[in-house]
Amino acid sequence: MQFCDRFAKVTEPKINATYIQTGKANMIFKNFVTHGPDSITAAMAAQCANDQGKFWNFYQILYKNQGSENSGWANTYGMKKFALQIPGLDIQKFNSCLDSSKYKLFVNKDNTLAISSGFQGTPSFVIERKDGSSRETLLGAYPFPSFQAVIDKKLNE
Amino acid sequence: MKRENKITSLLKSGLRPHLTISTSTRMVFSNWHYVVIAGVISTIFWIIFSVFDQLLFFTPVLVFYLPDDAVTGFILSTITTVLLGIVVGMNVYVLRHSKGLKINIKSLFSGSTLSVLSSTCASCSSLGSLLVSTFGGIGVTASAFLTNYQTPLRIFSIALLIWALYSISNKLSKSCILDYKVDNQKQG
Repeated sequence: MQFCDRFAKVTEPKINATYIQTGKANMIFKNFVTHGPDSITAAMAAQCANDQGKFWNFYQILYKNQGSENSGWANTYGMKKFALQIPGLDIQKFNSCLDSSKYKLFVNKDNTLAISSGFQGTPSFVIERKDGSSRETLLGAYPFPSFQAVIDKKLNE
Repeated sequence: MKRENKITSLLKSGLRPHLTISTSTRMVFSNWHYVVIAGVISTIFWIIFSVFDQLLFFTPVLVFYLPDDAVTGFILSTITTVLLGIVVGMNVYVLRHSKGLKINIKSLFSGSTLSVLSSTCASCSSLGSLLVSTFGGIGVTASAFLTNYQTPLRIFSIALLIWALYSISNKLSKSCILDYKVDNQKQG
């Protein structure tokens, strides 16, 4: 059982349909790599896909194919294989970005931000108003009704 | 004589594993106090396991949800909590009523500990950085092992609890046979 996977497959599509697609809220993804070197590779690969505007496509493919923790499924070879499934992604650019570890520092900065914010694991969420006020955190794979309660409260404040 | 044969055959049948458990559980749980103890223990552990498995949330709203990926784990943890309740209830019965009998601490605690550990480590993945900072690489490896092998570990903990249940039932049944024989000798 992996909670990020559960969030990505069960809760995120509902949040996306209810709040993101309707323009009521934005979702910003930050990396927090806690499961060894493969986590870093996966985070860097997602950022490389983001270079070409394909972050969320990569995110979906990654969780669709998620393997056991630290089993090697998220190594460089695996990431390049998954990238092939994204229509319109320039594979040459993606591979060169991943091979050069272009986003290693970026991912490390995300990690530092998560730790300094007091997070200890994934998935963790910060829900706040547009101006950054009224900040609330949800630590864990909370179900949609929990997000709904917090987001609606923020929207009605 | 007829009554004696009936009792003997009942007690002998009580030595068969399924009948031993069935006879002992009926004997213990005919008293509602033990039903309450088992119920309370099962409920407490069910809540703990559901929280660890991130199925039950108290804030910001009370929610219980069961996504597809969690069904197997939920069924196994529910079986574990029911068994824990029964085993603890029967052990309390033994403690209160059978001074000469010893509780099989090893089987009770190994089953309970493993079930709690395997369920707790469902949450290991959400405590990744804490585990890394506290235990380093070993923490990640242990967390990965417990997360990846959660289902077999839970099945193993259920097997241990069934063993604990059989063990305590067997002791209760055997104690009845001894009492019966002693009774007969006294009468003779």
